[in-house]
Amino acid sequence: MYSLFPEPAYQIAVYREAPYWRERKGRYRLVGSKCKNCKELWWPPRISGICPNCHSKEFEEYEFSHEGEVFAFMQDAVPEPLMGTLVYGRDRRIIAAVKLKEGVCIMPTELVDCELSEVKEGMKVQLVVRKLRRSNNGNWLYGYMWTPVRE
Amino acid sequence: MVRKVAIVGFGSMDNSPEARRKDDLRSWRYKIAEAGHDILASVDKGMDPKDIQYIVTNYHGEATVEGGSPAEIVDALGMVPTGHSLITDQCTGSGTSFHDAWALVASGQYDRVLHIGWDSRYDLLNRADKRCLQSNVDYDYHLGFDHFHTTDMANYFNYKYYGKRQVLEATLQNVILRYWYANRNPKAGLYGVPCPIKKEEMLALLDKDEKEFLRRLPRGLATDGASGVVMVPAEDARKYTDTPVYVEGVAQKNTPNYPGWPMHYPLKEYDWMKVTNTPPDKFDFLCSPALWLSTKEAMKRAKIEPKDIDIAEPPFPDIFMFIEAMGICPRHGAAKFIIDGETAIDGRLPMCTHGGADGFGKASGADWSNGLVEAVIQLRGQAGERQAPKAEVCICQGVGGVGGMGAMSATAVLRRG
Amino acid sequence: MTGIIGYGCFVPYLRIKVDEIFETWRNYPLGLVKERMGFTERAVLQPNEDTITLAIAASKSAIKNSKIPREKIDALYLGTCTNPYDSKPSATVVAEALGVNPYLMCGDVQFSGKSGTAAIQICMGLVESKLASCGLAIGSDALNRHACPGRLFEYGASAGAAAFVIGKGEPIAEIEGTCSYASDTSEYWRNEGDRYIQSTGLSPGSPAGDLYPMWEVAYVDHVKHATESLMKKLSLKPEDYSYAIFQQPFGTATKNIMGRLGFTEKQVKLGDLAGMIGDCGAASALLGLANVLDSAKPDERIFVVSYGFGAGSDAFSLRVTSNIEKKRPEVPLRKIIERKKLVNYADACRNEYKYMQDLNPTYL
Repeated sequence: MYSLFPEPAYQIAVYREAPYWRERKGRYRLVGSKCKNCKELWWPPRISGICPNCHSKEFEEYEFSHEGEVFAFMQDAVPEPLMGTLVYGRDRRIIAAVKLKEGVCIMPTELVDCELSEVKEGMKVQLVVRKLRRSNNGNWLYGYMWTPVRE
Repeated sequence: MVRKVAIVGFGSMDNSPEARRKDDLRSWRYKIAEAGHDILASVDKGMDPKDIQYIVTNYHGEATVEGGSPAEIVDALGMVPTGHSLITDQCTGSGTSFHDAWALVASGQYDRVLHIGWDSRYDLLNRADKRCLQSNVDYDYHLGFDHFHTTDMANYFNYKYYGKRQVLEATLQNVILRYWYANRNPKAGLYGVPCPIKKEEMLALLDKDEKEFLRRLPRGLATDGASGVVMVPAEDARKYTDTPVYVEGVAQKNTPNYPGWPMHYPLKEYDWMKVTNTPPDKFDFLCSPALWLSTKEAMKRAKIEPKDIDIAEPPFPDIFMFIEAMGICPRHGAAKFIIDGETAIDGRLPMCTHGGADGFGKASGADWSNGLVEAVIQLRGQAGERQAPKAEVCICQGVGGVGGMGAMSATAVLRRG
Repeated sequence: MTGIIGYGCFVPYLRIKVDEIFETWRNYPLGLVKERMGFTERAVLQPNEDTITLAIAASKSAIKNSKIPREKIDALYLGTCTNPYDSKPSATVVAEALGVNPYLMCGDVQFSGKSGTAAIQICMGLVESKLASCGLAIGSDALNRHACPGRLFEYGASAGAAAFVIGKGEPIAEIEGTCSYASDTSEYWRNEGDRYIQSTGLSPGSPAGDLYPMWEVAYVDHVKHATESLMKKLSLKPEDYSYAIFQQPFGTATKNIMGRLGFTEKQVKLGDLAGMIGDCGAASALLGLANVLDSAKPDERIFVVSYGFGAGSDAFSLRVTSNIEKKRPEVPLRKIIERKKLVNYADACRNEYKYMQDLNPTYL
């Protein structure tokens, strides 16, 4: 992300690396939280550190299962690039909600490496790690997507 | 001891196509000032800006990220040194600020409170920066999704639970009504814009070529917005106007902003399926418990039943849950309710009579308050061609959130004075 | 004896036919590309893929197929010459995404096309010397992203990844020995900060010199030295091997080298994949090895020799054990290669970011 002209161009709003780094386990491995007191599971991870159920502050990491089923899906039909993410070929993305065996629904997420015509509700999918976009400082951001489990 | 509160003035900025031609010439400060003074000017027996004792507004984050906007807004309104609370609550923000403004008067501490909901789209900040600056973006915005993805996903479930044909017919009816209402509302964004589709033609197309049908459906309008009301204790209402509108009940509820949350959020006290009156095989993450909870609580505080409600002013008639949460039609019966014409001006429940957010202009921070202002106009009988024949009780609803489908919701019940 | 405990591979879903590329550029005779160089298709990255995501996919599959708990991995070496980062390790991203225990020896290894086998050698060394109990060596490359549009290299530059778990416990194939040969010979290179891999150009005079730059003194020389040195060390001959796999910078590379070293068509058949998937760089020889292991029988010998421009070659002699029957991968490489979708040249260029845009894409 260099420019031919050295005068700095300030981006108004740039996240520090710290928020991306804090949430990386969730993006790479679907790590959420488990309350040590009431034993409930939480996705996304409880970054506030408080259990909504019993208000305990004791948590342990819980890696959710990397396999699930398609709960809902649709073709990306959003007409404008609303995000600075500039996802190319966006009209070919398959946006989906994936339900894991713990009952958690990962939504929104993407199905990759398959055609819209082969996606069915209840189809088994597994987690893959793909590149999302650049983070604000130029590093690459990686995260989960889902691909059909093919026998 | 909670005082009864009355609305004695209302107003909004002009969203009509004519006025919007000057949009880029005007900053957000101009727009909020325009609304503020429109509100005060509407008070029949007059209210001076100096009489306002407190201001509550809301926005979506435009202007500054570090705060400091309250000071600028008070200055923009010319109401220095009045106290001001600035709230951000996404698309239901003006409902939340209304709730707080109401509570200030109801508590007895203040006698004249100004409420304005406003939003300026990307005047200072660009869209990408604003989205990325959301606090709750870890597993949605950062992954390259927008709340439109979630709201579009609503169709997936609507087709399943209501039947695709019904949903599309209801959508068509909503579009027709949108233009009908907006063309009778001089301040609406689509005022003077004729409806680009014809009902019979589209119904015929629905049988033959669904893709073309969807392609031809006009999308809603997004604009800036600023609208609000001024509130006084009910005992003072007649000092300002002969047609006050009483605030019967207000409620606001907040739930997590992660779109998939209702599927797994185990709290001892709540069963989300029961809260949303949904059978397990029809439960999905778009059921918006917040909307159900806030509607129920507002109706309880107002001590009304579904049969008492005459008009509804949510921002979108396409979100079927607004009607169902009130209990006016059976669960999963809203599509039929709309197709049967019950939301038209001569139906059981005229809805979105200002054109809806799609017809008036979607400006998320002002969505709820645009509905509120329309509710006040209807209850005072000043709606002209779009006046609902029976206008005793009106309900204003809204939802907001990253999911767009109701992480937060505010509801208010108003009654004619 | 140190050996391969398990392996996994990944080849991208999208492919492009060389005919498509030719339709756009018409810059080289199609016969040269298809018949003489042997290319038919090569992989195209999706915007959400890069070397790291390929490596993660291959490693996940490798750990699963090895049937070992991921906590046992205490060395992870990512071999790639198309690293998304110049000065930051990509191996750490792979390690985090796999969830291996953070107390591990880790690093990126770059030796162009032989990065993957160099990583295997490093893991072998760590396991043999007991510094690590299990090492994960990954060869992953996305050459297509660094191939300049309109060049011969673009027709075959592909992407792929293969990961091997190296250790001592119940290997499916023992590594009998390895030998290497390296010298400073720059027939291809990519300078610091450069986008595209460049070459010194073809030399039509020498046989196969019109297919690969400096073929004789670069590829043949290094591969020959490594091969002969290994065979001498182990006192083996080409006839002792059931399979032979070579680095495949172009589709007919195997055909061109096998005769020189004394291998036959039958031995090289399974390991010869570039005709289907293009030049996968660090994963080239390793994907061929994976394809062979998918069908190899116990006690068969496998000869693998990789080559990296710049230049160097690693040769391995493997002997399949009886454990292989229990640890066949769930999804053989053949199925992964068959699972594909063809795209056109416009999609390929856009996906691989081969265009110029202005700097600040905020909205329009």
